[in-house]
Amino acid sequence: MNTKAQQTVSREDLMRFLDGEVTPQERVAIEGQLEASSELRREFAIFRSMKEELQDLSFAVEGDDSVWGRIRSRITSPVGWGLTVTGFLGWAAYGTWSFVNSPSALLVKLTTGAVVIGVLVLLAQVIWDRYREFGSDPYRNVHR
Amino acid sequence: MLPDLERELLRKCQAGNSRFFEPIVRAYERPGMRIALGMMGNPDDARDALQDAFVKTWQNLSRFDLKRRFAPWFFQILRNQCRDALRSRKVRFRLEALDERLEMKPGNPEDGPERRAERKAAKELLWKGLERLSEDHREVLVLKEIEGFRYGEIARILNIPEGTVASRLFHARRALAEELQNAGVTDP
Repeated sequence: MNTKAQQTVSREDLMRFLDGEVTPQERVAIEGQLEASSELRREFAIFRSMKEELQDLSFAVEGDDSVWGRIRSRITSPVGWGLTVTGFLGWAAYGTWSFVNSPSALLVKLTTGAVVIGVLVLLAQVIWDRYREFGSDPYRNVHR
Repeated sequence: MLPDLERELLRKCQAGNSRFFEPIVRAYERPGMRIALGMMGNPDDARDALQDAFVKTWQNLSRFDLKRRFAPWFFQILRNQCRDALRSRKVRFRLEALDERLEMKPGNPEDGPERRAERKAAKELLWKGLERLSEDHREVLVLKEIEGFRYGEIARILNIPEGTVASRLFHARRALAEELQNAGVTDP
């Protein structure tokens, strides 16, 4: 594909000509080169034919199934989680402080504390197990 | 979408109001899907990449300069997302783009069944050729031929000089022509 005539038209210029990105002067010059070289004409015809076929590949995605619903839940859920966790932590801290400073008997405080700590340990265990399984869950990308 | 309207919506999004992001998503999801599909080769991975790209866009919107055009910035994020997904072990270019869920550009209604079969076979060969190209070559062809961007826009999306776009297109087209020749097409 490399003949003397082709060397006068650079690859980049040939592409720009093919894609309609040349100035009128460049266009005239390249058309002259194409006129003079059958080899260049042949190469250009191959590129042009391929371009037309590729453009014909364009397709419209069927249906009105917008991705917005899933994006909305992904961009708004961190806000919801942040507020919930912050509120819960503040609530728990205030509750603990009030409970510790309440006039309840020591035994009541200890047993209640044991129940609360036990529930939190179980909850942490469930969250940890779920987190470990998530990496190998084959259905994690399935959307309802 | 009108540039002024788009800028106003983006300004409101930057203030944290996510409902103004919806028209942006709806305006860009179809061209985004076409690009993602061209790069990923199948609708499921393309849709995942598109969603991830929109979420990343939202997360980085505060850094976006409203004096710039949004489209090249978004398509650059989408392109990076597709490349990351293709590089991860989970996803590779899978040829399902001729899936029945996709509606191909209508051909000439006067074409007979033989001509339609020929067109379908030619498209399958083209997709297979695209599948074998490197990511660099495939993405520049997708941006130019499927989405019809101009060289300046492609340069901004790929973050390369405009002169490199022409050179990369030449190599991509020549590589595709060679792939087609290897597949038995005598005159691609």
